[in-house]
Amino acid sequence: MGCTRDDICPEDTQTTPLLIITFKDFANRTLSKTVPNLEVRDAENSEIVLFSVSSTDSIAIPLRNFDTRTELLFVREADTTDSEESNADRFNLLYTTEDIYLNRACGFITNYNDLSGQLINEEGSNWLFSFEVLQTTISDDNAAHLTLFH
Amino acid sequence: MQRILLFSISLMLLSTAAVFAQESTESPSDTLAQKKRDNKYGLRLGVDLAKPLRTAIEDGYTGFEITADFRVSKRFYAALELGTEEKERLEENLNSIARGSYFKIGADFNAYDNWPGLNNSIFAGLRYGFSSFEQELLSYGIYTTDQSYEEFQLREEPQTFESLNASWIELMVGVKTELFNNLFLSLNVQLKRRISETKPENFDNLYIPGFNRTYDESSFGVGYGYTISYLIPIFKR
Repeated sequence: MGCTRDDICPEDTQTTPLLIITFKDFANRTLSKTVPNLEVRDAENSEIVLFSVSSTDSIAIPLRNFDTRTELLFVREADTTDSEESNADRFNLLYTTEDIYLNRACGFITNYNDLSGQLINEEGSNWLFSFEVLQTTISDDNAAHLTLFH
Repeated sequence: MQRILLFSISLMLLSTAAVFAQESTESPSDTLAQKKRDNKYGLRLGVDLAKPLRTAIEDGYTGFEITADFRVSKRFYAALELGTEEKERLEENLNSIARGSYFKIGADFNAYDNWPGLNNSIFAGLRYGFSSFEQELLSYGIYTTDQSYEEFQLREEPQTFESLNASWIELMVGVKTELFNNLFLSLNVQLKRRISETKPENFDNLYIPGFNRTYDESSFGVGYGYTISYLIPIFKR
C-alpha cells in the first residue's frame, strides 16, 4: 500500500479550524494590546495547556469538537507563582458543531456555528474586562473570531 | 496483498490449464475437415470464482457474480455479468459499508486464432456497467491538526444513504481456456471509468459494487475476474 494522494490529508487543506482571539485595549478598543506572559488552559482539565506562556496580542486555540462548550482559563503573568501578579480569568465558549465530509484522506472535519462567549465575573479581580464575538461561524483560521479587551 | 496473491495464483493456474488444454484437445486422429465444422456456438454460463473466494477469506467482504456470453460471430460474443457485493471499509477515522448489485452488458472480441476445433480465446471486452447500491456511514472521527485534546472520540451515529447509483464504461482484457469439453476457465483484468454517480449528501461513494473502490482524484477504477463457465452448445458452424 503506497502513499497516494488518497492516503494523506494535504497540509494546506483547511481542516477543523482553530479559534483566533485578538487582545485589545479596553480604553481604546481599536488598539491591539499585548498580554504579558499569557497562558491558556482548559478549565475542565487544567493539565491541558492550549497556549503556553508567551507575551502576545493574538492566539489560535482549538475548541473541543466533541462537545458544544469549551471552558478556558486565561492566565496573565503566568510565569510567576506570585498570586498578586498572576491572575487567571475564566471565559467560556458556547457553540454548535457542524461536521463536514472533505475527502477520503482527511475524512470529516467540523465547523463551529452560533458562537457565543461568557466572561465569568470575579467581582473586581478580572483582568479581562469585556469581549466581542466578531464571527459567529468558525469555518477557517484566516481572521480573528473573537476579541478580548483588557 | 490478498488480491495480489490471488491474482498470482490465478495466473499460474490458468497458464498451466492452458497448456493442458492445448495438449488434450489436440488428438492426432482428428482430421482438419472434421475440426473445421467444430466451431461451437451457444450460451456460456459461469460464475466469478474470485468473489466467493474473497468472501471466504476476506473479512468484511461478500460478493457473487454470474456471467453469460453468447457467440454471435466468429470473433464476437455478446456478454452480460450480474453481481452483488457488500464491502466494509474500516479505517482509523472513517468506517462505512457499501452494499448493492450491478449489471454489466457489452461484447467480447476474440483476437486469438485458434487451431481448428479449439475454442480458446485472448479477448478484449467493452462493457457498460450500472450499479444500484446503498452506503452506510458507521462512524467517523473529526480530523484536526491540533492534538491538544487527547480525547479522540468517534461519532457513532450510523446513517444510511439509500438509492445511490453509478454507471461506468469498462475495458476488459483476458484469456479463456477450454479445460475440458465445454468447460472454460477465464481470467480478466478490468479498467473502468465512471460516467455518472449519485453522491450521498455530505459523504462520498468510497466503494461502488461492481466498480470497486473509488479514488478522490480520478473517476477510474480497476478490477479483475476469475471465472469458470460452461458452454451449452446450440449449433456448430
